[in-house]
Amino acid sequence: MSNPESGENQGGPSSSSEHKEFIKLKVKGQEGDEIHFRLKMTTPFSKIKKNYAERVGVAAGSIRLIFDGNPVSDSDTPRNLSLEDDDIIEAFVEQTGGMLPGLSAC
Amino acid sequence: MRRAVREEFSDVHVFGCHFHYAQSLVKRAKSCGLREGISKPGAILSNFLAFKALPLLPPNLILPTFEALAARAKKLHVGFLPFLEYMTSHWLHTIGPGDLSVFGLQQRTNNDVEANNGKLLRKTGHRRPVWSLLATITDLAQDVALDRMIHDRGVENINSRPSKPTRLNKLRVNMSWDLLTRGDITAMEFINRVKFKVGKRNHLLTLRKEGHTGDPILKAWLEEQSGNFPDEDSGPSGNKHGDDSSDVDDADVTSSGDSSCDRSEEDSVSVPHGIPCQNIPKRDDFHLFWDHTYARNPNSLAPRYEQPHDRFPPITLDMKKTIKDALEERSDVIGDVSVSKLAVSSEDLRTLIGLSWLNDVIINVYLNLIVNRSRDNPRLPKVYTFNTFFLECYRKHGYADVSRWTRRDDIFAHDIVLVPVHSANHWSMAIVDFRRKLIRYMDSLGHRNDEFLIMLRDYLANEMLYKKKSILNSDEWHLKNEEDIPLQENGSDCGVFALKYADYAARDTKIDFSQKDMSHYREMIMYEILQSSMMPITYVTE
Repeated sequence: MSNPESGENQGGPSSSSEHKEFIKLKVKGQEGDEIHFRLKMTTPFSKIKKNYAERVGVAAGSIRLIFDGNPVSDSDTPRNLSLEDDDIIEAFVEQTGGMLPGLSAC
Repeated sequence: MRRAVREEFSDVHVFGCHFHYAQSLVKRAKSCGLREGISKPGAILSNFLAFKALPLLPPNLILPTFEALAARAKKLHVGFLPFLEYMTSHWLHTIGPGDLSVFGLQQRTNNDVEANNGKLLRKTGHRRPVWSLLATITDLAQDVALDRMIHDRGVENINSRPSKPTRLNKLRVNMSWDLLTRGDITAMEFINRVKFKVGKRNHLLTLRKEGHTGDPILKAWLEEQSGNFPDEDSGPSGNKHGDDSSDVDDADVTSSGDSSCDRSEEDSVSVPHGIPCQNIPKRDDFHLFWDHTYARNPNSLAPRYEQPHDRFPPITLDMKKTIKDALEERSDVIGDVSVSKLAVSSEDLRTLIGLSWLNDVIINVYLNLIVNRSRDNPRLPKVYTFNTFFLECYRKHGYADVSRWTRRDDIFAHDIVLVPVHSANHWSMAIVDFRRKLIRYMDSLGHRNDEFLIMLRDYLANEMLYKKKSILNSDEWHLKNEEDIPLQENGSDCGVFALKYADYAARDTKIDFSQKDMSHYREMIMYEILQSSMMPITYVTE
């Protein structure tokens, strides 16, 4: 089975991660960039966001972090999201829209 | 008897009853060896139905039309020979076209007469003294006078409201009469228009025979036809004539209705002599079977709009104040995050002001509120939403990267899935409807987006494969770029339009907003986000 889920193993170790203090995460941008972070289980994601924003040169306020399709809020921590080592957080840039380009903007 | 009535009551008109006419035709046809031919779709049935529709013509057209029909029928089946003889000798010579014709009549059967007879029988019972019989008749006479009045006012049925197929059939006959009178169609064309009937039994039988019952293409086609043929609603109606007709004198009357007929093939099909017709009706004929039951079929492609609603809950002064206060303060989190599942800052909220462009937070939080509303209201369809980053991620990285997005959710357990589309500074909305196997793309600039539609369908196929271990039959799915929707007339309201498309779709409501409503919606959306809940839908009482 080529189930893409099978690569990720999500059983078991949640209990062990309870006791772990640090976690390794990847933050993956939409242009193929990927930045690795090592952080405390209790570090709020606002810090990651800020750090990532600096590295890619965007305002932190316009970064959106998503884990498994769900938005990661600034106050979330790896612990309350039950993250595990090597989990991937996706980073997006704020989207805004009024119309197609080429037409006069408002 | 007719002569007797005429002699006695000089001012009375005697009309035929279409039902009893049709009934006797069916009986005769069966005894002529046409039993098999008229019990299923085909040229025989089609020709037979044409004979049945004859009385709908004005008297002067009946004979010539009959002759034309007869010439064709003779070649079709030997059974038509004795049948035609009977038609000629009884209906055309003995009864005559004048009494046969029910042209222009609203009441084409003697249903109500029979109803009165039945009433009389029930009321008098047996062996009543003659006085009580007289009293009953007096009562009944008043009923009849009332009936008469109702008739004269053009109300169709005195005893009950006719079913929708009956009304459609009637409408069709009336419209065809108009066309005939104006000379727009010939007598033969008229017959071809009115001989088929709509009705549940009729078309269902045919569809089952053709094995088309579950064919979505056919259904889509039927829907289309229903729009193109406003007058296609069909033939004579036999009201609710049961089998009790014993008390009616056979002589006078003609009749409508249909007994065993379902539907049939177009007349041009020639069938070898004496061989039961096996022709399958041409697809083009199916519109004749369009029927309101399709419109109610959840699988039908026509949008189902079931939820009448009050379009504009007003924005009160209190609400305006709430909004104003929220816009003035600087806050990173407004509303209730545990409910909306997304932190909205006052900065995000400001994207709803005036002609600002809405950002992803507003779109996402509002879609979450729509989902919450459906979850809390059992009257509404079950709704799931993706966030605005879903399509971007899927488009760039493929299914593998988004397969985990629905890790905790089963999208197939929902009726509707909302998929916000963000592309080149423009918001639009795609809506997956599992009930109808339909993906709609709604774009307030009126653009099409086949690419997204196909991408979405492929996503569903992958999701089905990996999560459900089964194959999604792509052929069954319809992709539709919605064209008949309100469009934005400025360069900034696409986000509001997209949200409202989603809002309306999520409650099966027909879209009734337009550009002029957008500033109202912007305020309302701000308020709803601040409350972390959608305004309750005020249902219009019917």
